[in-house]
This record gives sequence, C-alpha cells and structure tokens, in this order.
Amino acid sequence: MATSTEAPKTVTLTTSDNADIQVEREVAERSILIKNLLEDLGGDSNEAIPIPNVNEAVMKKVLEWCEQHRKDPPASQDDDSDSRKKSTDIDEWDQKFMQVDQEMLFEIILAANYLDIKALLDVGCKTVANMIKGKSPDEIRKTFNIQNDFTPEEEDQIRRENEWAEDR
Amino acid sequence: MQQSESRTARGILSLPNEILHRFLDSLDTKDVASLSASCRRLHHVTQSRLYKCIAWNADEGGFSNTVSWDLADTDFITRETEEKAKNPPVDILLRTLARNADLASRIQELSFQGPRKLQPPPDSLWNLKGTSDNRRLTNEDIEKIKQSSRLGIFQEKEARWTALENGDRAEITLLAVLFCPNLRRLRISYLSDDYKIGPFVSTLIDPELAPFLHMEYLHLGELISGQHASRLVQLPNLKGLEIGIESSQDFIWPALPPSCAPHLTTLDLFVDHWEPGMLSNILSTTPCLKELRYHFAPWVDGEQSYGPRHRLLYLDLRAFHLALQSVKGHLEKLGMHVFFCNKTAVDVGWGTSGAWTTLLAPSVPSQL
Repeated sequence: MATSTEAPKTVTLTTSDNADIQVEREVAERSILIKNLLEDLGGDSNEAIPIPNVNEAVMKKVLEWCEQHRKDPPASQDDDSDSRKKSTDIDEWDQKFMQVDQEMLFEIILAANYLDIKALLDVGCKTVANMIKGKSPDEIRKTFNIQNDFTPEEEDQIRRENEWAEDR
Repeated sequence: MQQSESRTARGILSLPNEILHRFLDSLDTKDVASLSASCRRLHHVTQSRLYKCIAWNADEGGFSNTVSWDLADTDFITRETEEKAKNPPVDILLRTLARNADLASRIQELSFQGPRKLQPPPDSLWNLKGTSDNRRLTNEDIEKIKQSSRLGIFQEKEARWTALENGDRAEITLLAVLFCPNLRRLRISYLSDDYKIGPFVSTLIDPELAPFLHMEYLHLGELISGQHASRLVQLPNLKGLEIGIESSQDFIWPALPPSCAPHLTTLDLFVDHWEPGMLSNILSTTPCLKELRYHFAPWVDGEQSYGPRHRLLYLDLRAFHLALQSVKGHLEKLGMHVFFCNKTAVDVGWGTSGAWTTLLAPSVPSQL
C-alpha cells in the first residue's frame, strides 16, 4: 500500500465529456483500472488520465462512493464466486447512495465494471437483484419498462417449462 | 422517478450479458425463472443459469442455482426436523426435462435434499407412497416420458412405469436424473421415508449408461449395499464421494489404483463395521485424496435399521488406535475425522497440527 507521509497526492481524471476532475490518488485507486494505469505511468506523473467511457455526472457519483470507501480493505481474489452469492444485504450508506433513477444506476454499474471497482459493481448488482426479487414476470416488465415480446403461445410454453422453479 | 423519456434512456436491456449474469448471482431460482419469462432477451440470458444447477433447499422450500459441494457439515447427526421443510417438485421438473432435451442437456448439477423426518407427517402429500390422487402429471405427460429415447435402455420397464404412474417419488427422481446426459454432480438424500435407493444405484453404475461416466461428485444420503458401493468407487471421473454403506462386510475397496476412482480428492465414508485394513486400503489407492471423513457405527449384529434405536458395540480401542497409527503418515496429510454416528463416543481429529487432538473413551448410552 502507499507509504504516504506527506500531503495526499492527487490525480486528474478527464471524463468522456471532457471534464477534468481532481481527486486524491488514494480515492481514485479504488479503481483497479486507474491504479494500474498510474503504476504504469510511474510515480509522479501529472498527466490527466482519460476515462473515455464515463461522463462527468457518473464519474462524480462513482468518486463519491470511492471517497466513502477509501479505507476499505482490498477485495480478496478468491471470494469471487462463493461469498457474494445470494446475499443481497447492502450496508445503509450504500443503500442510500444507490437511491438514484434507473438510468444512473445502470450507468454506475457499467462504470464500476469498466473501472474495475468490484465492491461497487457488487452493490449495484445487488440493488438491481433486490428490485427483481419476489416479482412476477409482469411486475418485472413494469419495473424495468420492458416490452413483452413473446407470442401468447411462447409465453404459455415458458410458463409450463418453468413451473418446477416456482414456489409451491 | 423518471419514466422512459423520448431520448434513448439506458434501460436494463441495454446492459451487456456479462452484467446481466451478475444480477443472477444474487437471485434464487424462482426469481431467475420470473426474469426468463419477462422477454426474449432475458429468457436467452437466463436459460443457462436456470438449468445448469438445480438444487433443492428443503428448509426454505425452494430451488437455488448454486450449491456447495464441499463435504456436508456432519448433517448426518445434527440435522433437525423442520416442520416447514418440503420435498422438491421433481415430477414437474421431470415433465419439463422429458419435453425439452436441450434443457435437460444443460443440467450439470442436481441436488435433491428432502427434509429429513423421523416421523412422516400424516397429511403430507409427498410422504405418502404414491396414489393416483396426488399425481400431478397428466396421462399425456406420462406418455411423453415413456416414449423418450433416453429411457430406451431400461429393462423391466413395466415396473418403472407403474411406479411413475403411481407418483413414486424415488422413481420420478431417478427418471429426472436419467434425463440429464451431462450430469456431473449429484446429491440425493432424504427423499422419503420408504425411499429405496438400491434400484437407483444399480442404474447409476450400469455400464450401459455412459452418461454417468462424467460423474465427478456423488452424495447419496441413504445407506447403500456394500456391493453397490464397491462399484460406485470405480466411476472413472469421480472426485468427491459421500456415501453410507450398510452391511459393509461386502464392501471391497478396489486394491489397485486403476480400478478405483483415480481422481478422488474428497471422500466421506460411513460404514457399519470397523475394518482395520480398510482405511489403509483406501489411503494407499487414492493418490489425490485431500479430505477424508470416515465415520462408523457398529450396530448390534442383525440390527441394521438406521433409526434412533441402534446401539454401540464394544469397540477394541487398542486395535482401533493401532490401525490408525499404521496409516499415520497418510492421515497427517489429510484433515481426518473419525467418529461414531449416534453420539460422539470416539472423536479423533487429525487436524492441521498433524497430531492427535482427542481420543475419548466410548460412552455407551445407558438406556439402550
């Protein structure tokens, strides 16, 4: 980890809509993508880092999360499949943080994926999972504004096919 | 909240499959099934998840799409009767598999753990040996199942069809398993109180049934015969095996490595006789073994029921100790646990420190 004893170092990120955002390096390094980029650039580069896939509004939101979670221990490699399964518990601050409209929610998820911030990606995905839980297909369509593009016959077939999976 | 405006707002369907799959990680099978019925794109994305692993959670009365295949946590002993626990709707699953071979071919993991009950509740649909009243499959469904080419290998078809028509859970479960040509992991336990697993195991080890050559992990919750067990350990790709053996005098661990599962890494063996040589046979023929749990319950001779009334036989602790000493080298490499099944009368832990942790004298329950 960084052995920073002096004033915190900052980096500049340039978003897709050409906004420059200055942020403490430790905060930005919650993103493994940015962390690796900075390492590749060597210690004290002052160059702005282009983030071409994320716009300013989303980047600010993502950095807000990174700021809050700057001291979290880094995710271990092997908790990938098992520990995240099923649990949809989200801590309170994250829940509040995720109270945004769906478009922003999906943007955050995509940005977390691109920037390689696994914990944020998990929180985003759990938030969506919680919106799906316990809903019927029709309620899911309403929630996410999805068009039902099945024919009535297909719909009937799928309903029968899936019947084993439903609560009895 | 904003609803879709005229501009192309980013919706759930604009997300790449990779992300959609991540949503599924936190969802139970029931919710994945609902998603799959919402639109074509989500149907496409969810199918592989819905059918890759089908695992019944008896306590919650629902399916999961992931399940741990680690050694079960000694649930032989501690599992409690749960009033709300339910049996899996295997008949409805069988109907789907018989009608759609593509879905059946996606299944790699099946886990059917019914609730373990000491007494069947009188009004339970599922604990009754089938009568046509509780059958949910229509005649058309039954015909479809009978005609499937997957079942062409069966001998004694008539008895099986009768069982199917009667809604016999054990038979229906067996048929569902047989419909899955790519099955790699299977766990079946506590399906019903009068469940006879013998015919099931015979089918599993039938050399004509090539599909089960893929089997990597097998956990059977009911006791099986020594002869059947001897055959099971020869499944060539087996990595994990959890079985209990009744009258284990008939059980022969194949003496030479090529004839027993060469890849076996995890073994949980429950036997009813302490055979001093067995442990060293097992350990010398399983080069990949990493985890071993070896339980035994020496029933009183002639009494083989696996119920609350079994008793401990006198165990020669010295012979037992010597037998373990003779395989000390192997045991030190493993997380080894040896214990009696009904009460922890003998508990030998060979933990990470590589030394005896406990060796307690058997305490015979006074009332039995």
